[in-house]
Amino acid sequence: MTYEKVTILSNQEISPTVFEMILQTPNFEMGKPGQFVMVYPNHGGMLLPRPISICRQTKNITMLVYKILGDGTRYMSTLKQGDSLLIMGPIGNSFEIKPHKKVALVGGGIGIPPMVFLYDTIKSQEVDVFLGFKDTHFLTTLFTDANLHIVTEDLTALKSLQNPSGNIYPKNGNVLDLLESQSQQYDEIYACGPNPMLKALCKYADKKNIPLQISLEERMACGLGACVCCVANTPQGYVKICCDGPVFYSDKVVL
Amino acid sequence: MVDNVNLSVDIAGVLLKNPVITASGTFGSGKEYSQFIDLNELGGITVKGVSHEPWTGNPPPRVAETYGGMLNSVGLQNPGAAAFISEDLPFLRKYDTKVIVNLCGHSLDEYIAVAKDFSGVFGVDLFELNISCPNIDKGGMSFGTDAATAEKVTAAVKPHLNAPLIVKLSPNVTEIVAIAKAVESGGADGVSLINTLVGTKIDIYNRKPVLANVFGGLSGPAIKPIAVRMVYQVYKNVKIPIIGMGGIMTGEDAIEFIMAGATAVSVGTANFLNPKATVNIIEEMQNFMRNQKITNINEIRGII
Ligand SMILES: Cc1cc2nc3c(=O)[nH]c(=O)nc-3n(C[C@H](O)[C@H](O)[C@H](O)COP(=O)(O)OP(=O)(O)OC[C@H]3O[C@@H](n4cnc5c(N)ncnc54)[C@H](O)[C@@H]3O)c2cc1C
Ligand SMILES: Cc1cc2nc3c(=O)[nH]c(=O)nc-3n(C[C@H](O)[C@H](O)[C@H](O)COP(=O)(O)O)c2cc1C
Ligand code: FES
Repeated sequence: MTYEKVTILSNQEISPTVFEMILQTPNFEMGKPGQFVMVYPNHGGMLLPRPISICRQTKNITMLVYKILGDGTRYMSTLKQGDSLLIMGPIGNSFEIKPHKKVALVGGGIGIPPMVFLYDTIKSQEVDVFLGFKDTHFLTTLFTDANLHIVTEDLTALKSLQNPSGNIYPKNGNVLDLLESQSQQYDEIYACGPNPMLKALCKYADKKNIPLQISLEERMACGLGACVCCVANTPQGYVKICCDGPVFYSDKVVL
Repeated sequence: MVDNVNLSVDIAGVLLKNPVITASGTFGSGKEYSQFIDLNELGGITVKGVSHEPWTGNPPPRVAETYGGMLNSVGLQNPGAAAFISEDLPFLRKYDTKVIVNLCGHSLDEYIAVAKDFSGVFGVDLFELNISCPNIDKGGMSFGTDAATAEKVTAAVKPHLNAPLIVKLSPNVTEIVAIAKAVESGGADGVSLINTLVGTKIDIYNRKPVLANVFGGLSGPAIKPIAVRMVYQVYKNVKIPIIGMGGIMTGEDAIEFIMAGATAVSVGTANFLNPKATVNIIEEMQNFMRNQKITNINEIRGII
């Protein structure tokens, strides 16, 4: 685990209220798909660090993609190239990667960033990617060789969408409709997104008997497993999302 | 400038190398933070609340941020005394720091039961009794909000302990001095204050409280003036030593508590902003003393 001040190389709005921040992190421990960092805003009346998934990482660079939701993410969006940012990570467990043939990656909204890192890591497998957006789209071009399926409540938002591989199936509806319309049988499904989406996926995976790994969100304080703020419910009682998660097999948690 | 400054303090006969202790519930059992700081540098470590049986705690969300503060409704989730004694205590004993065990219960019987769990257990330097817990026999009213109840629980627990007893006071009271005096006459060897202040936060867009439990305990810099005031009042009215806490972020904050009358201080919420907060605070206290030509921390205790 690394806790250090890093330099911002760029911080750009890639879609309305969604930002891509590139950090120079040569001394930062390498993370795995599903892991996240804590961003310390240290600004105004804010005390708590903000958990943000690792979207992409190389030896020298870490990429975060975040949506402005409140004061912390708004403050992050004001930072400029050359500014420094205090971060800690990588935190949490990660998606379990197996030697599968065919897998599905499902991302909803701001749950998509960790799916990019996962895709980067498993793209030698046959990957179908399902992305759900409300009224915008982002990161769709990073799933280069995948069969990409995109759904949105507002089809006009997809007008500007360009993808080099051309495997896009824009649809009006929700991610689950699209997944259910597939005749494929997947060996594993990986997902991150809003709770209603995850709940629906759990039912689907259960019915089809497909292992499903989901990444959960909860409000956090320490990010280290010390404060017991960030819990998820399981049949055995509460577990800590920051250290026992954020990734869980769907049959091991109660959403 | 002076070169050597002495930070060691005595609490109920227990000598701490410096007055900086971690606050209960914010530092786990120390393990989680040992990757960032050398635990040997701390005056003491207060572990998270321990109960006789395991407690499940409250449903999430359990934390909300407010301006300069945070609300938590963890509800003292913990695996119980037996698990703590077998798993966490041996780890803590490896370090040259004082171990303070924070005890909680829902009834007089539960408090006595957890105290007895530690009889014959080696390696606890001080006990801290959390009397902010809801009393199930009194409709959930906290033990710490009534002087007679606070005295009773102190006196009931004390005979079962093999180390000095610090009673941790709740700030959610009209007369903090009355409670402090009551636990003193109940046999407390010291008091610590303050625990969190009850508050809530409403998500106005979703029209519901942020915390699933609706209410939570407010901690952080937002509560510091209240904490300093209470330490000041209690210092003037009791003879037993005080561990002061509530919003300490810097060495200067810690000094403020000591001048108000605290013998030692606890650092809680600051650990979340900066996992190295405790050791930074120790260093900042030393710098303050050097610059102010204070050779011994005890010189400035309660000078206000
Ligand atoms: C493991 C994990 C990974 C995440 N990855 C990303 C990501 O890659 N990109 C992204 O945009 N967002 C991500 N989030 C959500 C992100 O943490 C919140 O959107 C962010 O903390 C909001 O902060 P704020 O100050 O803008 O909002 P405010 O509402 O002002 O925040 C107030 C407090 O609530 C917390 N909080 C509010 N909403 C959430 C939430 N949904 N989840 C957790 N804490 C919250 C904040 O951390 C802060 O402590 C992730 C959350 C988790 C738990
Ligand atoms: C997440 C969290 C958990 C806490 N758990 C406990 C506890 O188990 N027992 C206890 O006596 N106090 C508990 N407290 C209170 C702190 O020990 C401390 O009294 C309070 O937070 C004020 O100090 P601070 O402002 O430095 O955090 C907790 C506080 C927080 C923020
Ligand atoms: S955020 Fe503190 S235990 Fe997970």
